[in-house]
Amino acid sequence: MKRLALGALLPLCLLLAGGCSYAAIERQTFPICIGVDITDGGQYEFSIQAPKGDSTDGSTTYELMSATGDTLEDAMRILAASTPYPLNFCQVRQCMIGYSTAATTQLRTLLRALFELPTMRSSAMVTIALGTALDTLKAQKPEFGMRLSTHLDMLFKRLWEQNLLPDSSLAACVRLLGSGRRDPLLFVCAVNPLLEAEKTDESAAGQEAEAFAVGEPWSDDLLPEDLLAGMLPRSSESPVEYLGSAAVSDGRVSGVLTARETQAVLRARAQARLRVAIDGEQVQLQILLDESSELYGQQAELMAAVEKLQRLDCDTLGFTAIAATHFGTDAQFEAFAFRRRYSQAPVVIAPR
Amino acid sequence: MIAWWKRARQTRTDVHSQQAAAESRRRGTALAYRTLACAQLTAQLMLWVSLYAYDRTLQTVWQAAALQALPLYALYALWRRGAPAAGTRAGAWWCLLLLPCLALDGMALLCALSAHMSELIPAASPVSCTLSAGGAALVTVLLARRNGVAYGAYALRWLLAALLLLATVLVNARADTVRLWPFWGQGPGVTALTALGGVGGAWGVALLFALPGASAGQERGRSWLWPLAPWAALMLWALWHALVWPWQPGDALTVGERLTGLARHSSSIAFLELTGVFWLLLLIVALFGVLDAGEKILCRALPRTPRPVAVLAMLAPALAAALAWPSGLADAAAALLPYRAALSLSAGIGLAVMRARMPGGGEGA
Amino acid sequence: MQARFHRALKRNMEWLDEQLGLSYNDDVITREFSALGHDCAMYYVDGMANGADMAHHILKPLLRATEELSGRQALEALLRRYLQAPEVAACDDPAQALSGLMRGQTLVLMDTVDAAVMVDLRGFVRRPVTVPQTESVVVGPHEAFNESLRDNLTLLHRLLPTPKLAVRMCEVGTSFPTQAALCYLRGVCKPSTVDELERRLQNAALDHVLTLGVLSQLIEDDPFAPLPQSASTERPDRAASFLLEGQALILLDGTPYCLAMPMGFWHLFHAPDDSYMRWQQGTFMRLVRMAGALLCLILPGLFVSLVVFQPITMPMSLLTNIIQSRSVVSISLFAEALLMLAVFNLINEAGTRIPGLMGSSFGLVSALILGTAAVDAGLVSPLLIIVVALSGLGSYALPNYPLSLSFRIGQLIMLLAGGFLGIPGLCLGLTFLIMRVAGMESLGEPYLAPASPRRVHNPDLLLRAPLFRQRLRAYLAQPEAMLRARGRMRRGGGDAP
Repeated sequence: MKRLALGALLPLCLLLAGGCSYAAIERQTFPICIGVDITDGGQYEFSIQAPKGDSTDGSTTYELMSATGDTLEDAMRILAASTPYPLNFCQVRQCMIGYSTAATTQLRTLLRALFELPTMRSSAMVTIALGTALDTLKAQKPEFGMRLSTHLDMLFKRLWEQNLLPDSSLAACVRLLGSGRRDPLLFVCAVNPLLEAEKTDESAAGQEAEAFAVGEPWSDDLLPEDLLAGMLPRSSESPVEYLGSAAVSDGRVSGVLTARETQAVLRARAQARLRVAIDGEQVQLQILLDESSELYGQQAELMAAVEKLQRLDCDTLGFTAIAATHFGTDAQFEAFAFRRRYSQAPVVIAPR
Repeated sequence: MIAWWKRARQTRTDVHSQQAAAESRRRGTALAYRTLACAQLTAQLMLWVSLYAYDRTLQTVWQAAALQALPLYALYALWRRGAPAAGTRAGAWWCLLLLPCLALDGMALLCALSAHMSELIPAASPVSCTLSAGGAALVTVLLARRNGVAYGAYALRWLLAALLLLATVLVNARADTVRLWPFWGQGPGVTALTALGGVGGAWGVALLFALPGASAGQERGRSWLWPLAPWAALMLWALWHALVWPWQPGDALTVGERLTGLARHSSSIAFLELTGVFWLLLLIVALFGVLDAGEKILCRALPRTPRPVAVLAMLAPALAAALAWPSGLADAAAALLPYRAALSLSAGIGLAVMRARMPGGGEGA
Repeated sequence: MQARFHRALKRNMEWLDEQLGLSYNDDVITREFSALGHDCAMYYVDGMANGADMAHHILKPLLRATEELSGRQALEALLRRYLQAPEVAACDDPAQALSGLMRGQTLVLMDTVDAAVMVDLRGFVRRPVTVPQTESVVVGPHEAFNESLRDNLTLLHRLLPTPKLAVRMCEVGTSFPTQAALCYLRGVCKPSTVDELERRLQNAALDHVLTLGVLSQLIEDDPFAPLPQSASTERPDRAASFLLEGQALILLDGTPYCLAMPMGFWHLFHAPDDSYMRWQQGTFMRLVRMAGALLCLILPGLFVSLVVFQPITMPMSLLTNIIQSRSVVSISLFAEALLMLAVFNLINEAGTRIPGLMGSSFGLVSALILGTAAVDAGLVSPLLIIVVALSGLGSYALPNYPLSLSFRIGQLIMLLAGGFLGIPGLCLGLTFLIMRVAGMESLGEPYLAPASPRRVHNPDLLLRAPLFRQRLRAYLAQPEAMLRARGRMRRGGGDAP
């Protein structure tokens, strides 16, 4: 009898958990992309791009919704309140932030707010839109009839293999921005104005794409890798392009690297041995390359990229973390103030 | 050499008599109980890293973890000295000093488990998570009869070890040795002080000797390996935190976010889920072990105590703490939990003195 | 009940007539005749004794006897010179004689003799030795036990022709006893196992034990445990393997299988042909079975908990498919899973009970109506049908029927746990089941042994080591008999030792 009573307790425990109410999976909205902007009025604009449900021909269409609020949390709450189904962020592939927002706001605070959303996918890519996130999301559509999530997964995977995609997952960005030992590089995307014009049936003949103000100016004799998102000479259904990276300094975006510069920096991180030589107050940054590596023949491009990073005060190669190995305690390291010396420190590229 | 290897691969047995068979049975039961004790110890030590030590030491958390070997082996040596006395009637009363330690362990485990469950199921209320976990613990310990909890923990040992590896080494959270510098962090003093706060977690080494089934048939030679396993797990956990820096000390994270903090930086969702499963299993097994150990220690000292009463006596404080003070685990980690070592130390000293007074020094007991 | 037989035949006959209720019981035949100068009577149950044998071995020699004897001399003459059957015995105890009569023996009474003579000329109809119904194998013998205890014991003796095979006969059932046999190998089975089993059989206080299933519920360690603590088999070869491992068997008259105890969890996963095939194949099949068991236990609960609580684990394409398929279903996924499992168990039970002629149409009905139509009607989603079907297949892969039923009950527990509490619920449920099962015992032996707690054992638990590596018996055997082979087991040549 006692055992029966005990055995009856077990389902009772489970029934106690029936106090939780969950939404059925078909009654939830799964955004694939989210976007954050700050409007001209200083308000946060939070956008989501989610599948709308199949059309009659079996393809998936996407709906874009956005809301504004005084803070990001307010905007998110307003958006959540205005959707018929609760939002589930477990399938988010991309967190897009407008360039001006990223350049003026402490990214860690913003990204942490996203990171701590219940169910948020920590491997979602943080991308900086050269424009506003909302406009970029509006223009975004998958190619070849794929789902948007598949399109983004495949694209990111391919770019990662070519060393064109920095590790700008949400989790990595939050961690790096908090540590202060290395600055993240954030992936960049933009709407190609020519393709956008074609899409909207405006006349595009004779128009040149205007270079983005912060990036390098586009000219005919550059290789495709030298371009930035939004400038690629191509034609396709989706006008949104992913190429290049945004440098972060002191928690804000400070500039943009082209695709070739991004590639050089990522290869250096993977293939080179990085050192910091500290002699008293003098600091020297050393990049030691293996003679057999790809970068060995591209030292000029690498130097240019590193110097650009110094100008942008972005230590994405992690020299700060390496410099810390010269000190015994945190206090000594902080007293040395390496970050203030980083942008002026000479860079030496040498064979290993 | 090859012939020797071929012969060595033959299945052998040392069990050729009733006595050897009885000894083999005792050894098997002792293995199970020691595994359960190790699981409890591991859970407490790892919780200490996630909830207390990492925030205070950051990259030197592994050094604070390494220092835990000192109280672990000090208590081990003391309890090993007094182990023969633990099996006596008077020794059983000394072991009652461990009950408050078990109660505090239970509070910590139930709070952590409830918080972790709430993290995994945001729609579930913390109260329902606490009551479900507590109710399941009660039912399991009572229905598992005499040795079921220990045998079940022994059956799960490799799964827990594999999941621990998945949650640390294999989680691919971009661990980098450069994050270990500056080597002394905020200074050896801060690290040592933090390590002192973790001394309380080492009390559980007493269970290797205090549990009725654990100390029978103890091997003299390799018993020192038993505290090594939880310490190794602790080192692995602490080291990976130091290599990854999953969060910053100022970040206000929930208990559930801290437990899965490492895996959130993995590129694979599967590892995140498996880390969640690892913590669930470890906390559940440790919680069930706390109730079982408390019941056994109490019933050995007071044989007339009904088993359900003993189990409820261990569960009630944990339930009360988890329901009344659910977010207090982090504060308790600093304030209350370190005192567990003092109780374990007192009981160990008492038993060691008892053993010294036993005829023949307690040899052969 | 009279304590002894009387010397007067008439009194014995009156007593027997009263006990047997011959005034209304037409099944017991009485044949009165004269032999050795005195009146005699022969009793037998119609249909249970062979008439021709009785005529040849009892009536013919006695009716032709010319000498006149009485008392003990007559009894001696009957036993030694006249009755020609192989099994003839004198019986002083009327109750025992009555019991023997009801079991098919022929009872001969004689005036002036204060005992009955029991002659075993049983010739009742019984099912012949046929192929196993529930434990078929691809490779191996195809004989099965039948309902006759004697035939079953004969089958065992043929497989183990050794004087060490001990058979202890006993009766179970207080009011209507049934004959049972306790078999074990002397020197291999622990004496404590035999004694404990005997004690439990004697203490089974039910008025009648119809089958071994009833008996097992009376003698097992924990009747509230989720899993069976004994293994039943209808195969003599498997029964012999149990004996060789140190386990004891119980056979019951009227039951076409035997019960082996003590039993562990791992033994229930062993199929007879695991050992008959090569070790690679045997190991592979066991792994398949274990995978099936895990699928049966965990898959529905895991599916529901992942879809409802952890959709992050699913690729978007699968998630979209699930959402689309569920968009037309009006009940929650959890309720849908419960409904499907209930229907599956109903189909299963109906399929077991349905007469053979209707079996073919039954499959059509269940597949069409309950499968396709339910999906079309929007009651269930196709993916869940696949999940339930896979878990059902997993339960069918288990060689032990009670074990598969237990797993299906456990499947419901895990579904409840996963449906209410997601992954944490599954972990709580799994830990509860493991610890509950780990705490079980079978004749005092831990149920999960030799895995937990650890025991010295033969490497034939989950993975089947090559036969020439299996030098030990199971941990259940007597310690002195643990080693069953010394030196190399493959001495005929080849590389492997």
